[in-house]
Amino acid sequence: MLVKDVMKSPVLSVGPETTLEEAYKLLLEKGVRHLPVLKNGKLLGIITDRDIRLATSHLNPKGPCPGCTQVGELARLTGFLAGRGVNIHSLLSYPEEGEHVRAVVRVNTLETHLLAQGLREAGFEVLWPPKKPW
Amino acid sequence: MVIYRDEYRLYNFGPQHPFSPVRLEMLVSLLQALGVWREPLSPPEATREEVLSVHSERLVKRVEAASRGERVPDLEHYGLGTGDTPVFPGMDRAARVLVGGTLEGARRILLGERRVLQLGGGLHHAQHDRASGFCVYNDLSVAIRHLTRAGLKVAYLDIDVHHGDGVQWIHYEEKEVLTLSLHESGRYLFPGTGHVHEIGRREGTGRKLNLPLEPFTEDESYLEVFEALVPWALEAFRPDVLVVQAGADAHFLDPLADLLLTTRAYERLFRLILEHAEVFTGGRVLFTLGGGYSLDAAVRVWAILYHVFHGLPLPERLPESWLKAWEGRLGGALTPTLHDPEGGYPEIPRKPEIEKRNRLTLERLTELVSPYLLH
Repeated sequence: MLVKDVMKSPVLSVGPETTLEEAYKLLLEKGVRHLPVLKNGKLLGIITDRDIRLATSHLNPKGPCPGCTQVGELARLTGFLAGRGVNIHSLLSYPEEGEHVRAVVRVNTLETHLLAQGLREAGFEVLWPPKKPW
Repeated sequence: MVIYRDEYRLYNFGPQHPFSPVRLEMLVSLLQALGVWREPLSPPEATREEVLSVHSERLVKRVEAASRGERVPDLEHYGLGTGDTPVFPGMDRAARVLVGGTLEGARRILLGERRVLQLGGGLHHAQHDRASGFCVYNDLSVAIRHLTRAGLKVAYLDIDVHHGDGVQWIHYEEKEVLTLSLHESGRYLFPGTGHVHEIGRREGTGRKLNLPLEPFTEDESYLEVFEALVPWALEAFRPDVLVVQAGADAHFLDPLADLLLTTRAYERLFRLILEHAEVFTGGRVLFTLGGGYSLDAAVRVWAILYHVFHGLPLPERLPESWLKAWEGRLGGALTPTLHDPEGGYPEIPRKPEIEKRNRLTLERLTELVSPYLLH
């Protein structure tokens, strides 16, 4: 038996600029555990589900967050969103350099810019969506 | 043929809501002030059965009940009574009026009409079992189903800045429907879907195409990838009719999204779409409106659509009387010319990077669908 008799083709691949989130979603959806990484048709490398797990393990820290001294900030954020009647799909938070905690919130609404404006007025530093001066 | 009736404005989530019927009022009055308005065809409202050709009984029952002011306990599970899609009295009928317009467009195409412009609708987020994103019933899918049941192959093109998720999922396994959506990437924008790897399932594999674009994509990059993708896909699929959701929210003034199209790109897009219809579908094309949350921009974009659709020359300035009336009513300045002035937004330093990424996305898309689309 030769490899070509047993291999899977066409094979699903990703590019180097694909996010880990997208790659992981692909793995889950297609039931595969490895994805070759291609650029301009050339094989750059391979990424496996283990690679993704290891790379993202720091996002769920087991220890205390060194800069997180403000109790209730995350609650204030989610409370704000609840007050606007906005459904939260998911919330990811992790410590960043210095005293900050970054929260990535996926919300079920078209009006993210309005939310961002409100959040800024409430004292949060909002990175996305950005303010557009025009 | 233009389809419109004033009752489209009954679809109204309230004065604070961005999906505003005022846009239609502004658009119609602008076309009248420009002297190009002709009496449109007034369509019948869609029946309950016609809505059920796409939506579930469970959803329709609840829309009807909420519409009558009844208390329905699990509305939010059906996407209703949310911040985005609140309930309002008469909601069911208002939605069916819009569906009726797009459906009438489909009927006319079957009767031999070639170009149809439905001045409303485009509710592409509504799902089989769920309202979503300002959309209660999916007028586009009801029309598409009517066309496929008559044996036609339908190519659906969605240029709204948001992914055309409702239409995609409803026809996800259908091989007679090609969906093509160009939108700001779901990484950053509602509804969060529309990734390149969503290519359809079973019979529909390779027939659902998504081109998620980088935020701050400008005219050149958009038109480049549009022209590299759309004729290629239409040529491979060989549709009988083109259905186009012409949302205007990819314009740089739109407050809900982050693409930077100008009116000049829209003019070019509309001309290209009509050309592609001539080449691929014998000229058969059905346009609907859609999103567009800057009143100033959306009205001008759709006025351009109306003029290009009819082969009329584009006026340079908007009528003074119209400007005065609407500036008074809205309490702010409006762009006095049909096209945007130069330099509407600052220079984007990441422009080369954005162009590169969009090209890459296009490459990945064609790689993924080619094995299925081309035989």
